[in-house]
Amino acid sequence: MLSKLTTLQIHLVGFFTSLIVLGLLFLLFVKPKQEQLQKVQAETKDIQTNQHGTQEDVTKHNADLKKAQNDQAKVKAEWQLASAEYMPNIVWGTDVLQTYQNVIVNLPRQWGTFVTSWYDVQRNQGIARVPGTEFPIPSFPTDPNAAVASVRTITFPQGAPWNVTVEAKSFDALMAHLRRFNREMKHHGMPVIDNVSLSGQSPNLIGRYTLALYVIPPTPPPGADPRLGGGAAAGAGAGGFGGGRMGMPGYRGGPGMGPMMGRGAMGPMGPMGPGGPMPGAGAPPPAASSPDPGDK
Amino acid sequence: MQPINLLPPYIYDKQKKTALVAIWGAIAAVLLIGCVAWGLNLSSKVSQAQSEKDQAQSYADQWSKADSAITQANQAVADERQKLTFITNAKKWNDTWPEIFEMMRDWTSPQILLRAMSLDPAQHRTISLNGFAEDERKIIQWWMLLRNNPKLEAPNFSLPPHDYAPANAQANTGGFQGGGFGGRPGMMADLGMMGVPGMPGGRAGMMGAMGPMGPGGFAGRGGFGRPAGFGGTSGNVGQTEIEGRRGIEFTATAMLREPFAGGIPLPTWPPSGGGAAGVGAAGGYRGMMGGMPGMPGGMPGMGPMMGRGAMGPMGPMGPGGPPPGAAPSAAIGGGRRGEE
Repeated sequence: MLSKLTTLQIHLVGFFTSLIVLGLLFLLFVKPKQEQLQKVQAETKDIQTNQHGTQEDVTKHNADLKKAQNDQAKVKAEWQLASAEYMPNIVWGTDVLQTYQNVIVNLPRQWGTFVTSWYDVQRNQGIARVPGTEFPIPSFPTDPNAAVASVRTITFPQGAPWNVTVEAKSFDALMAHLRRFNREMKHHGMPVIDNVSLSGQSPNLIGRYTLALYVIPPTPPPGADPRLGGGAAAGAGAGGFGGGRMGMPGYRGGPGMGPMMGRGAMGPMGPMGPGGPMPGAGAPPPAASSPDPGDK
Repeated sequence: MQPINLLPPYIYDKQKKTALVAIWGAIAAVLLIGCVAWGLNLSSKVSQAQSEKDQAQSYADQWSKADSAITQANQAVADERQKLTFITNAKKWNDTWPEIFEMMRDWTSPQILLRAMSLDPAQHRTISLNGFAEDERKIIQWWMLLRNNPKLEAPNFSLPPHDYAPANAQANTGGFQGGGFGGRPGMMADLGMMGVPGMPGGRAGMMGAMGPMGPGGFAGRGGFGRPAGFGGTSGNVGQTEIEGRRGIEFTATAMLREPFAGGIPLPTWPPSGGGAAGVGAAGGYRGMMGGMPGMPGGMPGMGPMMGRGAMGPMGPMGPGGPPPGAAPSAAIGGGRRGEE
């Protein structure tokens, strides 16, 4: 057979056979491997680029983690310090009614007397409350469930801050008094003063400002007790109940409305209601004092 | 003698063809081996790339794990961080008040008697002053001084107009330049703030000499809101007499160059994210309440309700309610704005 083929034919056969062998081998062995290699390399690059799959990124991120952990410890420690300095240690009970009776009902009186005495002890430092400057605090809702829901954070007074007018014997005494809020008003919430103004002259220099105390209790109060009728409904946002209250003159409209809107967290706003007493209670608010003298 | 091959060429054809086939066979074999070797090489590269990928994936997992740990760590203290920020801001806010008042004291000329000083309650940016000076020259001198205060900008004084009046009219105005304090140096030098040595009734304190000042005194003028108010300053400008000494009462404003307390909003807890919007909403209610006597009871509660429970800062607006039903002086809760 070989003798029948010419040299040219042998060359052609050899050439094409080699070509076919080469092509087949390329298609069967090389190309898939090449594609697989490219795919793996692309995936690797993607991981490295988009998923931070490099040692450098991991090292850097581990450093970030360490920093975050340090930061976490630092923030916790700082908050503990700040909390210990400014926040009261209110111990709630585990039972709603117990908490209401033993703790919550006493808060307005405790805070009201504290603030009053805090001012009064400054008499020998040249600061005196002018007559009419009082620190009334409206009651918390009388519904224990609503009351408990409203004390997750507490603002004294609830609603509008106190309008305070003090008489100072000197400018320096008044400035020292203003600085005393940060340094000496401890364990009763963070005081925030605003709209400070001065007028008059020594020794009857008048300082006016607003004051509010923001209390962040260290632990949350107990959750609502579903066995208590009205409270649970109001806390859950049953609208009808709150609405009814609002309409009643003399009743604290605000507190009722907070829960009415359907959020427990609105509790703190409830105390705004003290506005309510005004129309209903009929007790005219004394001049220049606070939002709800009637509750005092 | 040259050898001559007399055999015909085709005699070697078979031999040549065999060699040719062998050559092509060898070529094909080389190609085969080459391709296999290439394929094996690629396989090894693939396995190497795969191991790199596994390594990268491992790093990515480690990164992801660290990332979750970071997020977890941040979330674990997010609450505390927020509370801490509130405390820090509140302390800063409280401390800024005396800083500003003391700065103003330090920059007040001893020849100026300040009677009221306040910041605008909305922006906490504009300082309003009400004071008294022996003559206009002293006020201008102080104005020039305040102009150079790096912490203030745009100090502005309301001064009395200088129109021409006939002689008999001048007599009515009093000719204060010839009388009054007579240019006493150190007019208020011994005051804590801007003392007044030699001035009758001068006592240590911010504005010592003003005590006896019946006409211009705080109480006599109907309260602080008026002299230090943020509107109508020109009404308080002009000649006046204090303790028998003639002088000029003036009002002034100056803007703080730096925002109050670094520009932080009024600290409240829970934080009021939508503070600005909330205030707007409450403002609306306040206006409404003005026109609705009898409503105040409910309305204060509604302010926060409309915006957000957390809207602590809204509280102050609530008292706006009382004004309609009560005497203006009882409207304090609503803010000093009501008084002004």
